[in-house]
Amino acid sequence: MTRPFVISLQTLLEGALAGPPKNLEGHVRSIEDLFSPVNRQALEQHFSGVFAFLGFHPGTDGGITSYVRSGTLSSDSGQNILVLFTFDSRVTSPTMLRDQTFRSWLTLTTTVHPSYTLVRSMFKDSVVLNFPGIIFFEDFLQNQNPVYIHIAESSNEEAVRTQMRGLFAIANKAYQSSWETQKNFLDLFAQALQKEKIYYERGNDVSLREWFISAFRFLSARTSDIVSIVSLFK
Amino acid sequence: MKLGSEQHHFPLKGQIQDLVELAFQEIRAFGVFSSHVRPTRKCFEEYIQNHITDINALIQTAEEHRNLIPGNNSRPILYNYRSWPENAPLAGYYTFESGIKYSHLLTTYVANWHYESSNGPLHSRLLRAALYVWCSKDLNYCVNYIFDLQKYGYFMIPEAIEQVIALLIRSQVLGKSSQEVISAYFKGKIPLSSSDWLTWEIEEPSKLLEGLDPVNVQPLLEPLIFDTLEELECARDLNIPEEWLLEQSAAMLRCRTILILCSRFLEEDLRTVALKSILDQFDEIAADAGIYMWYQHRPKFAPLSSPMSMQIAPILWSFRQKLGEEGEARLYQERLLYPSVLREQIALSDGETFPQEWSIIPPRLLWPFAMSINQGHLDPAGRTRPFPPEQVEQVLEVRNFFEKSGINLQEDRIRLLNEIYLGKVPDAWKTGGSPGVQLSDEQSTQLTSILQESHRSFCLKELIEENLNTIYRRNDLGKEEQERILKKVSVLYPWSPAVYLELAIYHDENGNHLLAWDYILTTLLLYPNYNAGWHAASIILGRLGNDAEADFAWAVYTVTKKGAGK
Repeated sequence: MTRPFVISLQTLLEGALAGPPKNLEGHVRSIEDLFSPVNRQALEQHFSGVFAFLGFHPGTDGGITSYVRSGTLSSDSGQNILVLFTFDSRVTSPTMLRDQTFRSWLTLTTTVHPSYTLVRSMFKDSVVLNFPGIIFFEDFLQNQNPVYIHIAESSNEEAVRTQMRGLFAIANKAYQSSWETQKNFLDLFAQALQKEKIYYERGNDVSLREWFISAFRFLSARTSDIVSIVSLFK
Repeated sequence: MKLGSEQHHFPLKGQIQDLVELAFQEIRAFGVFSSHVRPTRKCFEEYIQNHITDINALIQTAEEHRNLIPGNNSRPILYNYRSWPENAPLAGYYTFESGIKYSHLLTTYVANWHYESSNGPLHSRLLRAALYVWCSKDLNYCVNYIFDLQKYGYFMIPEAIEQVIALLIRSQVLGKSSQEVISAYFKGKIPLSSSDWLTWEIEEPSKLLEGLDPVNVQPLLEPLIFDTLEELECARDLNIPEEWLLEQSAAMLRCRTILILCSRFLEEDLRTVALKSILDQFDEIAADAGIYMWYQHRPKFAPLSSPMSMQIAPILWSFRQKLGEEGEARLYQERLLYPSVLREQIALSDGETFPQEWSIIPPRLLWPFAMSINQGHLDPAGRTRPFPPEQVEQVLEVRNFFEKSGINLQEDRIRLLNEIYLGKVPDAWKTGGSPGVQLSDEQSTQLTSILQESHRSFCLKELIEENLNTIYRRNDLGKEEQERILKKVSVLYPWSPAVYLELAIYHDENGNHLLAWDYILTTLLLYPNYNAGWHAASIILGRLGNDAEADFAWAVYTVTKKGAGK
């Protein structure tokens, strides 16, 4: 089983954009530079699949928190889906998930929790979202309508795992299909969810580039980060 | 009741054991440091003769009279041909039942280093031990064991470690079971007894020339990489300078070995972006060991500063230039240059100032550091700061040199002393002005040699004549005055066993026996045969209520006293 280490998305992006080896020169001071359209080719080459962002609160969503800490997230999602989530400190170097991880955000209410706030920002104010949940999107830079799914069983780790594996299986299938047919992944994924009678919300026509830049700024101000579970091999 | 018998089976673990464990920390450090900068044969032999021999004598005595046995089950063990208990496992990890003693382990260390010092990498013993461990467990366990041998300093040439691990990885093609693999090395048979394992000839199987599917390497490399990340995290949490210096050095070695294995067995297109980032980080961490090379060019009179105290300021400056406010946080997380306990101090001082204990080579690692990285230059009377150039210029030999060289202006002399004695960048480099009077290479060498002698005699005069002798000779010295002198010499001469002895005596007499024992530990690590140290140790142990160990220390004192008299 993969051990639960997390690493900042920023470090991953810097690594993808830097030549080998990445030294101090490969570090990027401005987050805008990472999401610059000139990097499109390099980003597509290194992050060829799709993305997901988990919106959960470590205080109230115990099952998801345990599931994330267990470290199976990246093997469950597979190579084609990079799952991201917020972390309560900056982790530009791999950091192990421990029992005390997320503790500094335990006392935050759900209305101000960074994870929930970032998900909500992809939707119109009138849309009522049930948390916790996971939002899927296709690209770092383009405008798109992300797909959000509420995770119902949030108190039991095993139930969360089962539900997540089910969603990842559908998403992977939709990704394969989009790759083969050159159709929009999010549309195919939404259709597949409909077929499985899984309720979802489609977000605004969001510029993911702008969303990421705002998210990093928002989190940097709180010395926190967007991270993914470390996976070593393709 | 058979108390005597029980005492024999359950030896007391006490302060003497603490001393021996610290001695093993030092031994371990010599192997680790030497893996970065291999000592010359002369340095190695001096280390063994002048220091390890004394530690060995102490261990043998403690084993005989105190029934001392190792207490750490995570310690890797490795056989030697000179002394190894008959029924003990040849390799693996220490267990109480094995009957292995500290002296057996020390013999292995010295035998390994001796071989490497004379003949180069020691593959044969390492491979035999690795196959032995693989035979009883599996390849993952075996590779972890080899990494632990490296971490514990059993070898001072890292190539053997790297090559044997690579050979073991390739050996997976020899069979599905460990038995199949092992027998391929021993003409189709499995060694059964220790004697078989030690004497049967090992043949590298010809099948190893075949390729290995990269996918077989991933389950092995993955835990090794994650373990390395964990070790980096653990090292950052250390708050004792000698532990930090040792673990940092061992982690740098490990990063290097992992990089070599990945470059050999893992094609680029199989690596995720996360792995690429991790390996780039390992590369930077391993490269930071380059600071050790600086010590090769260090003049003998320069203070023995810690690598971090010389390294951090310019790197932190670069990180801050590039990354602004986040620079310190990223430097801390992405490299292994300082522990968390120093973050605030480093951030506030731009990496320029450190608490004294972090700015110098820790005294408990003076011997291994000096005899490996510092090229054999060991001076227990070394000073943490140079003397003012104006004071050095007054020394007769220095004045004679300047007169003979025709350098008569005071300002020229001071400028040259600033450059050569203090190691400052010449002013002319900064201002672009006239460089002033210059010395030829020959003159520079001559002045350096004179300065070395002058500096040392200044140090001895200050340490012994002006300070310690005051304590030795004057019984009426008040507590405050004694404390003032001790504080001064412990800041200026932190590698002197005599200073730690006086600190121990002072604190013991003032009722702080545990602190006194801590100082005595440093005294005896710096000078294991110091009979005055053993005298004080005996008194302190008695005051700590450990009569048996106090008697032992007294016995060592009487033996070392006789030795000192010869």
